[in-house]
Amino acid sequence: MSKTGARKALIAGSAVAFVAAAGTAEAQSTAGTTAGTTISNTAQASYTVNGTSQTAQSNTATFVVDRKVNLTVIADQPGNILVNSGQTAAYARFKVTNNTNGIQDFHLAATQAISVAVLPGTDNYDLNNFKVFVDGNNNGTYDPGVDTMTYIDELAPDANIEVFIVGDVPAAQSTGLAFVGLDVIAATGGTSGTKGAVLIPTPLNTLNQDSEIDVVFADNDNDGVGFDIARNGQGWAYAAFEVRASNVALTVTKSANVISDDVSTLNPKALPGAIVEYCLKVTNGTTGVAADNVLLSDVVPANTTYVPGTIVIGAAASVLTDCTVSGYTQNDNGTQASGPYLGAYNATTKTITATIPTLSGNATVAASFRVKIN
Amino acid sequence: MPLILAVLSLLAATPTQAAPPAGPLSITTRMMVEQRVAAADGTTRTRLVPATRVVPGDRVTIVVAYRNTGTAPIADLVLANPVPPSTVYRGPAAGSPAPDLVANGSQVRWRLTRPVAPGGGGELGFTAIVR
Repeated sequence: MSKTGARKALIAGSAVAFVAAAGTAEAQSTAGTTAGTTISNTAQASYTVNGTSQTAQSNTATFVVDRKVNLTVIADQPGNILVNSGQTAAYARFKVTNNTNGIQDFHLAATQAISVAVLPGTDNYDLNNFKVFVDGNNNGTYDPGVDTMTYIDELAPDANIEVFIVGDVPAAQSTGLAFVGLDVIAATGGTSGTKGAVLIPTPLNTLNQDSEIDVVFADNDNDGVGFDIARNGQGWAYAAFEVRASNVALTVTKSANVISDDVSTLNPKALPGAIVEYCLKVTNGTTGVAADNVLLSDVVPANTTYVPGTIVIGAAASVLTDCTVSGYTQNDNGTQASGPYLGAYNATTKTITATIPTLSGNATVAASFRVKIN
Repeated sequence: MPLILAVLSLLAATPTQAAPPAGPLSITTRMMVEQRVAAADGTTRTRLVPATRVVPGDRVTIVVAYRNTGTAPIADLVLANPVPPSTVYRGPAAGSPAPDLVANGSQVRWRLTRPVAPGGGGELGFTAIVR
């Protein structure tokens, strides 16, 4: 390659780099010049004829920027919406953004017939009283009776708004998932308070005038494997209402064991002055579902006095004479001692409390404390 | 005072006056947009069509054609064209010499070093992206 050839190649290379950078800048731009904007061009010239200066002006060429319809729809909450059986007005949040270079209305359609695997898990129940509403007061929360609009009115370019899919969870619904889908359809804007007609793209072969605003669909396939396809003027997003186990089979057993009296070390009796240990054992009988923040409380019996510093919480012992295995001694004042648990003694109400942050399925945790018989 | 007003009104009137009497140079401008055309063999190529369907992000080509309709050669020809509002200059059009970008990129300008002979002319152009 000659020197000149190498230089040409270099220049070509830098030109390619410039185009690539320009492409990035384009992608960062917002919805763009408003549809209907007239772009016009006029050229001017100055020249001399036989030494005399003259000027000239060209005609003015114009065109009108057309409507580039684009929108994005996303489910606006992390993961599934946790609901309880029988819950009314449960809702999923969606965010609709108008990426069109003009003000648009949007029609809303919600469905529970989600046949494809757009979400993990299996759809096994449907919501009742199924509806879709716009967040009219723009507070991000569904307010029954307040958020009543069923279509998006006059959404400005680059603006977004929340949409709610609302429904009632059937009573006595066991654990399961209800999938819902939101279809947002671009419609004609420009008249506030009026639901515009669904936009139809101007056919490519239509002979149009420069002064007309064509409709060009430029939206992406919003959901990959779902109902949406690219350039259809619609956007889809999905959410799942999940009913989780709301109850576990908790059982508590209480036992008392005389530790010592002043008379017999081998066979202590419940005599005045004897030390008695009470043992509370709590069992979560539901496999696979943990119970959080289990709180045990017990009032110190009449005619006995709590022995300070004797609250011990830990895994339950299997032998009858012991309560816990390697249990953690708790602070009476309710501050965190070593171990995951929390114990406290309220001298006013004479109440012992023991908090277990997490009680796994089929696990048993025990708490013990000692009293002295008056 | 009336004199100053008269002068001011004269100044204000100057830009709105009709174009100077037609000289020997005629210039016309037109705007084109790239359109993808599918060929019979399955490939696509782009061709320039009049800018009727243009949406943000499209690349338009602005063409300035000039012609000497007089009998004497035209010298020192300078063609200036403002980059239309809502567009961003991208580069010379295919086959056109690169213009100078002046006035902070809001105008392009070509200086022709050679005189334009009677009956002669040409086309210059640049591309811009619709914001």
